[in-house]
Amino acid sequence: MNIILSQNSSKPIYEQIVEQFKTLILCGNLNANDALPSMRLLAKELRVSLITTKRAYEELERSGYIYTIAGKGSFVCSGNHETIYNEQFSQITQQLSEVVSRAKLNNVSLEDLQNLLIKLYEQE
Amino acid sequence: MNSISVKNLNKQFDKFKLDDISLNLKQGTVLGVIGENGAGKSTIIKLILGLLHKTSGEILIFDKPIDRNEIEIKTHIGYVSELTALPNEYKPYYIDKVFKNIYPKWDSNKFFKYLEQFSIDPKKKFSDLSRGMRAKLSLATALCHDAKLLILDEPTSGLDPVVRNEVLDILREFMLDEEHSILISSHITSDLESIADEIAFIHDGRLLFHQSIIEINENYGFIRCTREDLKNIAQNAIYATRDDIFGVEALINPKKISFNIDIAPATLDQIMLFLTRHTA
Amino acid sequence: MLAACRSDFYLMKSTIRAYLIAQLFMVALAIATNSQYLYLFYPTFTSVFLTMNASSYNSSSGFSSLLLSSPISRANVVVGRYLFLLLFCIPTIILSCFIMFILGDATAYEMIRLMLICCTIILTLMSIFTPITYILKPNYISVAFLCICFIPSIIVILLKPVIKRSNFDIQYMISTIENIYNSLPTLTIILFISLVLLAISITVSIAVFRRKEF
Repeated sequence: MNIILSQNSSKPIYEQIVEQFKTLILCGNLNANDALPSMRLLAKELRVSLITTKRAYEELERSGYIYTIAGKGSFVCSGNHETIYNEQFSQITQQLSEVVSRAKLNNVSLEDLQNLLIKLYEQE
Repeated sequence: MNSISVKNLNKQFDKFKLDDISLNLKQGTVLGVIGENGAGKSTIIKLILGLLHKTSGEILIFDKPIDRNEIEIKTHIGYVSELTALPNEYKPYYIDKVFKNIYPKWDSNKFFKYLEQFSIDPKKKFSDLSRGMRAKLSLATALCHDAKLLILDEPTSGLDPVVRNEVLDILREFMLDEEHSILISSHITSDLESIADEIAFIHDGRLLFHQSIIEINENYGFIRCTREDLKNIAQNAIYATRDDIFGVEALINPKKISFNIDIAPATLDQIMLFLTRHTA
Repeated sequence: MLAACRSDFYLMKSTIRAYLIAQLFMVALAIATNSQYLYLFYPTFTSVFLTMNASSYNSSSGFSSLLLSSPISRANVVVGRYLFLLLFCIPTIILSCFIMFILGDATAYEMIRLMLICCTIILTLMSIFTPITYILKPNYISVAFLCICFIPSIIVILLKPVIKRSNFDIQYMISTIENIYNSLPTLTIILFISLVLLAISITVSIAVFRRKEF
């Protein structure tokens, strides 16, 4: 399990932790019902304050990625695929809308854009 | 439960006054106390430990007043201070012999294991130990009697970065137990930023703020811009500014800024500097 | 109490070693010059020097604050100091008297007398000097000690004209002192008085130390 934090980013550290865990869960590195490291252990290993990891876990729980059992720890939620799909879809929508507005600004036609999308999709 | 609870603490010296300090340390957290030299950080710690006598106010440790249960409370406290120097002829193994009979839960094996881990020869005189070793020795003394509360007064000042890291790692190891708490006073703010959950800022004998570091991250930001740009920012969002010939720096409240500007999260150093030296 | 005593012992370990060596030297000197009182002179006054040294070690380093942050009461620390001084000085005196007895420099009767007198002196000196180390700041302690050492001579100088005028009979005084010196019961009573003085001194020291700020 790799968690990489950047001290120079303007994002608060707890947000970075949240994003890293989300990526791990979405990519399948962490499967349903896998145990997450305890808040304290994570704080010690990442060299951050306990309150940071606590907040990160609270955020993850709020977003529905993990659940916590008192006295046992935090675990990855199962059956997340729909939420994940929805969240990723909304992120893609946001990114595409930026692409579309840039295209419009620079007079790129809808047809050119569609061809580009097909080419990129089939490329992988 | 609060490990330490201080209410309306006052202490009058000849030329200095500690004015109405109230703060608390929740169990299982680390509280960092920052402030300039002479602001009153050590005074607060000494008052908590009973080394100084308070003029007025209330101090509770583990929810018990220190006036009455002093001995019982102190069995659970470990104290490290840059002042706890030992006489030159003292040897580390004397510490074991002396404190074995003072602390009920003193663990000699643990003490000597720590000494071995730090490569401190128990029979070497105190004056022959390097500064880093002395700091680690003090820390080992504080950790060997099953303490639940560590009170550290500038434990890392004067230490090189390698030793400082070792000390912080030991403290993090200490915090793995959720019943343990640490009160640490330091002016090396980078250390505090990596271990403290809450920060209390003492200036001139008064408490300027006591917030969690997440709140501090949200409430304090640092920008650098031109004087004209500064005029566009609402007055109530600016804590303090500093002018120089190339522009102006300001400590601001990011939540009160409406327009897009490059705001860096303010470090504790910047917060300390701006709130004490410069004004809005 | 014992813990504080032990703490003082380790604090002063190197000094004690030096004092014991000096004592052995004095014993050798006494045997060589056949002068009884050298055996006992040194341990009697060592108590004063030890107090001064102990308090200076304590204050020059931050050892007091380390000790007081541990579960030991301030009264215990003070009593521990007194106990340490007693446990060092009294056995040294008894041992020295014993050596004198064995070497034939003193009879059993004289030995007991000397022990009583020296113990009284030690207790009195301790009772006077130890509270001073708690009351005064470290810099002033040595000055105070010197002053106290000179007080008896100053009193005698001041009283000299008074004595001359009042036809004071020195012979009478000397014979009274000799009587006291020769009677064991009187010496025991005086020792008892010095014990009371010690108790008062301990109380004063504890009261002063309780208020002390670090």
